[in-house]
Amino acid sequence: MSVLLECVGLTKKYGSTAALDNVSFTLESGKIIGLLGPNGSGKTTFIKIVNGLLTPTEGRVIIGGYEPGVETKKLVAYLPDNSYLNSWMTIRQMVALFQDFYADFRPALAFEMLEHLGIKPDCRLKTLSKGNKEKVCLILVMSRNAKLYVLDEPIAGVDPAARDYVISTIINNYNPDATVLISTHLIADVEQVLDEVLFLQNGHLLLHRSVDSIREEEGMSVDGLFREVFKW
Amino acid sequence: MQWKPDKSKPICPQISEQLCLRIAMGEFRAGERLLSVREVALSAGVNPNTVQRSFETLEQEGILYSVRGSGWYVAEDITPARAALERMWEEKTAAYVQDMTALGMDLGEVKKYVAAWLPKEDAE
Amino acid sequence: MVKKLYKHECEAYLRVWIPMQLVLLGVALLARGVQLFESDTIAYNIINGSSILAFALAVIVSLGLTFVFSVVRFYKNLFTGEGYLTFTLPVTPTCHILTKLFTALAFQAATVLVALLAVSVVTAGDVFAEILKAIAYLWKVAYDKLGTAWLFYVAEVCVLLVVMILTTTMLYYTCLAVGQLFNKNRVLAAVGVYFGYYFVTQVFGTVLVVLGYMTSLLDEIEFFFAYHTQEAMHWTFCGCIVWYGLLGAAYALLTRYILCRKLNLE
Repeated sequence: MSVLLECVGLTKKYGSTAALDNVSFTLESGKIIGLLGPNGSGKTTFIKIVNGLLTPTEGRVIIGGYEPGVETKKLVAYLPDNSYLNSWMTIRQMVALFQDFYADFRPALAFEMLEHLGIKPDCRLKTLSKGNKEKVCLILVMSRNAKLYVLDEPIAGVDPAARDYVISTIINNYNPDATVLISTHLIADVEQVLDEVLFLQNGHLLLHRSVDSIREEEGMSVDGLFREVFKW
Repeated sequence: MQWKPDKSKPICPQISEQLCLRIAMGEFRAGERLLSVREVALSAGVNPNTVQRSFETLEQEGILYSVRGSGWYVAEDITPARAALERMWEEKTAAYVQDMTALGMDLGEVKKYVAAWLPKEDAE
Repeated sequence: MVKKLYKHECEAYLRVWIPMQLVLLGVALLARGVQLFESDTIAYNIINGSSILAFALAVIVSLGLTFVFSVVRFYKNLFTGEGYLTFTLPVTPTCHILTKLFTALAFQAATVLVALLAVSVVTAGDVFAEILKAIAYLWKVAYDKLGTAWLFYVAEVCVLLVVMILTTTMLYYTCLAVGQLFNKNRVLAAVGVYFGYYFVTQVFGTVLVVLGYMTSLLDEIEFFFAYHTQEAMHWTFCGCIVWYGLLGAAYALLTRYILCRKLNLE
């Protein structure tokens, strides 16, 4: 198990408020990690920094030996909270785009997953329902053979059956050289798939533990611990 | 394995136990190849690492063995599994007795209630 | 990787550009077709006039659309939800800016060429041939009079034209980028920035002219032009090229800075 992501003293300030405050931790490959915390805890800020969409005020994050930039973008597959699809392309064209830019993209896998869900590749993206758009976004990201998958709320706006599908896709795609970071507040649905969890609150890292240690030592599920820690 | 694990306890031992009991009850024959770690993880909806460790635990107990590149197999001698099954019977019985006592049943009555479930002897 | 970026940028343009050009050529053919029924009637004159007008409108729309599209494309691809995909492609922001800029230039040039083609269709080459003959004649006259200096002028004007188009397009991109620094109403802010900047440059320009009057600078420039016309012309063109070039570079650097360090997608 090698270290894939390391952040040291990561801070992001907007004026005087710190969206992230001196956050430090490492993530190893082959693990599925939950980034948990209430809204506004800094999860999205952290994810944007990892993807090079925000620059930190202080501190740094290193992914696969590089700071966020062109090299890390080759290694990181990002599924954002909202759809990143444009309106005019067909699914097939979007697959071609991914294939053009990402050497680790597996188009055969993408088409297989699309077929499994009954989504026709020649549909225009704008004709897709919201649910199908989300599935297409997920399929494109998971069809990459990345070193780090960052999934921001992959099951939030989605019905229970689709949630099972998302979890299955994550399990199916598991590979010991890759790390999956799932940011969510729907912990109960996702916790049985997690190896470790990170709790964030107001930009601070409250804890970073293995899920097993929580169940053994606290005698409760991660969801239970979350409710205790983040009680209003 | 369509069963869902109890999330307030470590999942790995639960999977080991489930698998162990099912082997003891004859669901898998000796020498039979099990589903892969990935397939088990998928059907239970859990992390493949967890399944891997539970398989390894059973390997340490002598119930499973792995063949490189081929998968996991049920051992010829599943005595440890049968022993675990018997322990489970004892635990469940103890739990039953405790529950019934908590509900105020007189332990002498236990036999009467259980008899209702036993196959009738052909006395006539 | 950069080639792929150009490929996808062109795909996005072609989808809108080709239909527009086909419409333009269609209107041109229509206008031409109307001319086949030439007669001295009022009806013909009205219809012919209308079709020519329609064609002129189509040309203007075609040119305008290409430009508007290049600005809209920049915004949509970088600053809406699509931006989450664009900025996570393994390509530097500089690459994104330059690709969009040069693709915009290419399509603007192509639009002009198609418009010229359409004009020749409408005039059935007659008027066009006349114009070409006139241009050839003027060229010969100029070359005879000025020699190689004429070729330099032509080259300077061409370069200046290209630089001005690039800088103008880049300015719009930069305004959009600056608009992104605001938290709300980012497009409105971009528009505000554009007009604000325009206002400031106008004021600055006026101040320069007034200063020119007040010192004897303008007189000296006039003198220079009168007695060293050729040199003055070269200085003017090259000076403009350098000025717009630097301006464009400054816009590009500002945009790059914003995209690299100040980006905050919704």
